[in-house]
Amino acid sequence: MTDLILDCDTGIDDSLAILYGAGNGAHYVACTVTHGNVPVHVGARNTLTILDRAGLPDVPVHQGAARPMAQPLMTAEWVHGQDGLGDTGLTPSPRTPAGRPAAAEIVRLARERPGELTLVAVGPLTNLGLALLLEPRLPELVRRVVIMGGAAGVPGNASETGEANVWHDPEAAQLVVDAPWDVVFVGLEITMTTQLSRASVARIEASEDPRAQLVWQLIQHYLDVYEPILGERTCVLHDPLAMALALDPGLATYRLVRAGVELRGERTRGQLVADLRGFDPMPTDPREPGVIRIVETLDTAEFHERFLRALGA
Amino acid sequence: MGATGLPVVIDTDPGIDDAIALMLALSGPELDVRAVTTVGGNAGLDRTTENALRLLHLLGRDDVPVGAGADQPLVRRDSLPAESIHGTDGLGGIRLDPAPRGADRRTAVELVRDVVEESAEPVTLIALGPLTNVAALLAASPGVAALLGRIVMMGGGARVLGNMTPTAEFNVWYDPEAASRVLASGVPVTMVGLDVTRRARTVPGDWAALHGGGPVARAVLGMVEFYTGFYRATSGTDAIAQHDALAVAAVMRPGLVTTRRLHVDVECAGSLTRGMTVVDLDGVGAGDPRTEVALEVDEQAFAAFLVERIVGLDGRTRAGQD
Repeated sequence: MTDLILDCDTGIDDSLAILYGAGNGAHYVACTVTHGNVPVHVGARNTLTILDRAGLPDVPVHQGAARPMAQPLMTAEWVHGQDGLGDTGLTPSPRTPAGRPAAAEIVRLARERPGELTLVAVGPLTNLGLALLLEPRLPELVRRVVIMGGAAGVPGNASETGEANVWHDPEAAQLVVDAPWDVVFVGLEITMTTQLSRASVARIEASEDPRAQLVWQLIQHYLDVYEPILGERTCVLHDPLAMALALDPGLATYRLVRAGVELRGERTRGQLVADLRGFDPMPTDPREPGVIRIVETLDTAEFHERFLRALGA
Repeated sequence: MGATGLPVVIDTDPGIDDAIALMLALSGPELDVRAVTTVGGNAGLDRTTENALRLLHLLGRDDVPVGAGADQPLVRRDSLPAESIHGTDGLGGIRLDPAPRGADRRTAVELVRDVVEESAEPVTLIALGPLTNVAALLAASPGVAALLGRIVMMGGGARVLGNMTPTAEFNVWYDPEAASRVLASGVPVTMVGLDVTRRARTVPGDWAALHGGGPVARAVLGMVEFYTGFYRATSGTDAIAQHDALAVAAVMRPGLVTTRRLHVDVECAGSLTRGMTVVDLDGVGAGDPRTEVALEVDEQAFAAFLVERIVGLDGRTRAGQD
């Protein structure tokens, strides 16, 4: 089992990430929630609902940042539905979030168990940025950090150049990039290649496993969004891929790059700028501030298989 | 020659790859090069103008007028010549014989205006350097600019973003405001950027036929050697990108590149992205798609075409065909 903290903005693909982790060896020490796909109170409720449905009713959920550090709140209901779970009328969990705010809980857990916890963030990085401000030693206290975010050398999805999680809070993302830790940014350049095959989608539809049936219900709205983009009724798996690589780093190969977040651009604010030129000297120390890992190659077939297996499909 | 070719003006900042591009433009009947205008970029304006005059003399084309243009970008104050790539003289230290003439008395903008007004057909403007002169033309003579057939620019990138910075290609980086003006002008623009020019490569072995050749061959070999040294030092490869030659080739042989009509703007304010072309590949923004962006290139056909034409130049010049 991998002990991890999941920071999320649940969200359809956040739900898929939770289920992926539950079926592939994640032990959720806590889920922390940020604004992003939906307002934070909606995301917190959804996280509780999905954990309950995944048979994890004891995982504490901590509500976190209600808005980005330096810009107004923007949400993406057009992708995730008004309720963030595809508007399928899923009964909300009767549970309520735990008392401590997300960033404070991340710091508390990291101090309590130094070097043991994996941090996975699949929403805007406000909570992680706040945690870094509260505890500058956080980089030495966590074991691994895997982020879903960025678009290196490919178009954005929230703007021409901006991927949603970085674009939703560029200042927080810059704090995460600059922290002296070994951080993987799982960006659109790789997540957009994770399109499920029609046969895989059919396996989810045909399965009688309650997890697969839940996912089939959740993803209808997501399939509506992705069908015109991908040209067939399927979807890509952004957040589940970050979860997968947190649990099984060996599913991918990585490349170290220097990076920064554009904070001032008129047309490019919120772009994760990675230096892909390949000029010498290339970075060698992943902990150097401003150096991140991006994914170079992925065993997509194995990733898909583990995803489907986690759903019982 | 020339009477049947497409009328073009080449705006350039030679520059090693500019020099090879200019040679390509004058290597066959496809283009009728009515003027060459110069801009500061790879080297300062004095150098790029002198280099253009000497290159035309080397090619036996002292008849093509050369108009000097802008030495400085419109707004940017921290642009610097690319001396590590092209040498302090712009041509990698290769000495060419001086031309028997100087630049035209008309400035670049005046010369382009005259060429466009005197031409019976629309003139294509091939811009191989920073777009300062082109922006100045648009500002000074919008009516003349509107008569242009199109502008073909080497610059920017859609997926392969930067060489000067991680996100900015040199020509657009050097004068972002000028590029922004040109892309927003309404004149049809074809953007030949790093997505294709980085793939438009030659290796030293491609030029084997030039050894023992005439003055053009010697100049090309010397420039290629200098340029290769830069690539070897920065990227560990002997393959050099013929950026500007591809932009010229795309006019001579349009089939060499495949374009898509997209909205393109230039980031002029960012701290990490100033000078980046923002290309809306997925239609995420609301901008009007009106720039033809080159996204694919037949790299083998390009390299074969370029080498064949450059290798043939000495014979062509000696035979007095020009």
